Amino acid sequence: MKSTQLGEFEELVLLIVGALNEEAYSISIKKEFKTRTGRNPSIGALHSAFNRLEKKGFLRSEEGGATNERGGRRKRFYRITAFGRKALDYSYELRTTLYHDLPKVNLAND
Amino acid sequence: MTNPKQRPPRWLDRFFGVLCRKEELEILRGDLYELYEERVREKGKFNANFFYFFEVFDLLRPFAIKMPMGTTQISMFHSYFKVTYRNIINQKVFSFINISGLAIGLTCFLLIFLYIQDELSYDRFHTDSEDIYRLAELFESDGVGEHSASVPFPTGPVLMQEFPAEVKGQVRFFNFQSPTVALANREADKAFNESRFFFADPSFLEVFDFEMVAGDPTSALDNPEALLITESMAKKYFGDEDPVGQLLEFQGRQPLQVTGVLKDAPDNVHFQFDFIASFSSLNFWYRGSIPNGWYWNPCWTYVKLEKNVDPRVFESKMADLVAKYFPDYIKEDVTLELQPLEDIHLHSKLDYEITANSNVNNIYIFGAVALFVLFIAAVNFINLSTAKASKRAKEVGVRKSLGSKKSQLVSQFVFESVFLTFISILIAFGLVILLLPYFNNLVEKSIESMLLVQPAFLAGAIALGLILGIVSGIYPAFVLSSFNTISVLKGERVKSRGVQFRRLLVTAQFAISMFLIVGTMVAIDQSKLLLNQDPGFEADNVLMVPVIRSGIGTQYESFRNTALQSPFIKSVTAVEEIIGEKHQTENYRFEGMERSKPFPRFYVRHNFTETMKMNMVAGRDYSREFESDLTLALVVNEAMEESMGRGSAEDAI
Repeated sequence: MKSTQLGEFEELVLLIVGALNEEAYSISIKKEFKTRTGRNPSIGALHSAFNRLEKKGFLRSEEGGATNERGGRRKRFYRITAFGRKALDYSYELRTTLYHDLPKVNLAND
Repeated sequence: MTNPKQRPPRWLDRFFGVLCRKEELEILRGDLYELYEERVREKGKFNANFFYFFEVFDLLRPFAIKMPMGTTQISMFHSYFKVTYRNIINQKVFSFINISGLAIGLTCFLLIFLYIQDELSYDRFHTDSEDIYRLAELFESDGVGEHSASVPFPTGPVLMQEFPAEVKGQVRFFNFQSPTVALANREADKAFNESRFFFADPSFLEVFDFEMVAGDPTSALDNPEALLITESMAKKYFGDEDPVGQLLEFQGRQPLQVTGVLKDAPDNVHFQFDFIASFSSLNFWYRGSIPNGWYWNPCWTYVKLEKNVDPRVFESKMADLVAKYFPDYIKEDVTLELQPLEDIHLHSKLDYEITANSNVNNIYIFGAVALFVLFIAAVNFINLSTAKASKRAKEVGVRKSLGSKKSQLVSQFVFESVFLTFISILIAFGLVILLLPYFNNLVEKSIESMLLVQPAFLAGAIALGLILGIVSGIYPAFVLSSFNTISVLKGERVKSRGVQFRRLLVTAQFAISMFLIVGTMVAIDQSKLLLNQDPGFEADNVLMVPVIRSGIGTQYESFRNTALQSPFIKSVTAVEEIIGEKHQTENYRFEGMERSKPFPRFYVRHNFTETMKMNMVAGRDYSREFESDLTLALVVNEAMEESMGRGSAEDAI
């Protein structure tokens, strides 16, 4: 499953898009990211992640209607695709398996 | 609606609009606005603007930037780049020779270019530099005499007084014609001999544009005993103290008060100074009356003319001044001339220059060498590139059979060679920056590497790279792309064309190299000759002690007697100027001459020929046994004797 490889940042973005469900657009994702992780990603970094994820087929986007906010400009909402969901599942599974294989005692202190 | 006060900076907005891709623009702008509005609410407008600036640039990432070309062209460039890269890697030695050859050639060219540019920039930074002239005095009779860069004391002021409509200002410099003078800060017990000390008129800072760091430029030199020093001298004598108002002792007798600090003079000034004392301070040394005669000409005098004055016409007017003021016995031999300030450094070769000047011929020679080197490097590059390209016939054949257009093949080759030239140019710039300190040391200049980043220079470099790259790329491109695809692929030997042309280039290149090498050897020989040539005296084991304006001059005999008591000292003599460096001129009238004529002269004391091991053709050196020698005797050289028209050396005595 080479093509589903996810970077740490990408994975977080993908998870947050999924968690926000219908309300996922750049600014809300940025805010959610900050509250969840404490990190404050730049808007440029986020957009370039969206772009990559969309190219890989993990996200799809559609433009919303214009509102009075943002100088009357539309927002672009993101939804996670089935393929994206699968990639998250795979990543979760992989991590859990590996995690369970850790020995129970912390050997580094010996 | 959006409050207009909350709009982000217009120019940034527009800038983003220009560079951002159309499909992304609305969404991204919306995001930027939303973030901006929130920041204005929470942290204020300044903060919001600040972040907006960074966010705009942060957003300009590859996915959002508008591409100037279509995607096909971009991928073609990708492919060109890849092929170029592979070619460089594939033939490392070849690429290394090709790139480094061009880079080294360019480095030489750039260094010489910087040198020439610096030479041409001399004395041009003054606002009216094209209106400033130096007065020169041609004092000659029958081709003997002097062409002096300095003129008599009253010349400048009288010129101003006689021609108020033409002369805007004048400034005189005087240094007792002494190689060094003594200065001391008694309080700090610091004393040095200084060579760049001048007395100058108060108009010094009006005529020239030298910058002051401290003090009042309009009045700094108005009073006697006033002194301007440069920043580095302020440091040398006063350390970190404020120099203004402090005293420096001149020649152990005259206290001079620092009234201002000058910025160190730029290196591209034909005379360098560290100290400028007010001209009126000279009254102290001449008992209240600064010399006023028209014979002695020790003052370097600069005049600033009004804009509309034609210097040629003005020179002829100065002839009237000569007739009016100069003493009768030299009137006819004297011509006053104007030397444009900007020409002094490269064109002036007069007697008594403040410092030795450069020579414009050097500029031509160096310029020619620079062009030759560049030519060799370029030809070398073209030759190597074309020679290599002919080995790529097969590649071209494959490309063609895969459907490459001719134009694509051409751009492939041109792209490659342009790419290589630009790598070379980058390396050359790096090398120049690296080598500049050593180069400056060698040529005694302080050229800054920042000069390389002038727009004109960069534009020139880019143009050079493009021309060189295109010239060396286009030839193989057309030759190769015109090959018959099938025969190339069958492996038939392709007749390489253009061999004649390349041979011509190689021959030219070789000839120029030989020419440069031989020229260098001749130049080395010449300078060896200059160093080893017999000047007519022996300077070995002779020690010079500068004693000008010190007590030793008046106490010479006792100094000499004390010195001779030392077993290490064989003989002692004294001369008026450094031997071989310069001499003075004086009027003499020999028997049979109607009126006196100027002759080069050199005052010496006893034992001169003995000390310097000079040969006498006839007669004797000055002797202590003849009392009259002190005032009346004369030793002449062979040339002089010829001009006197006496038969033989013995007859002359």
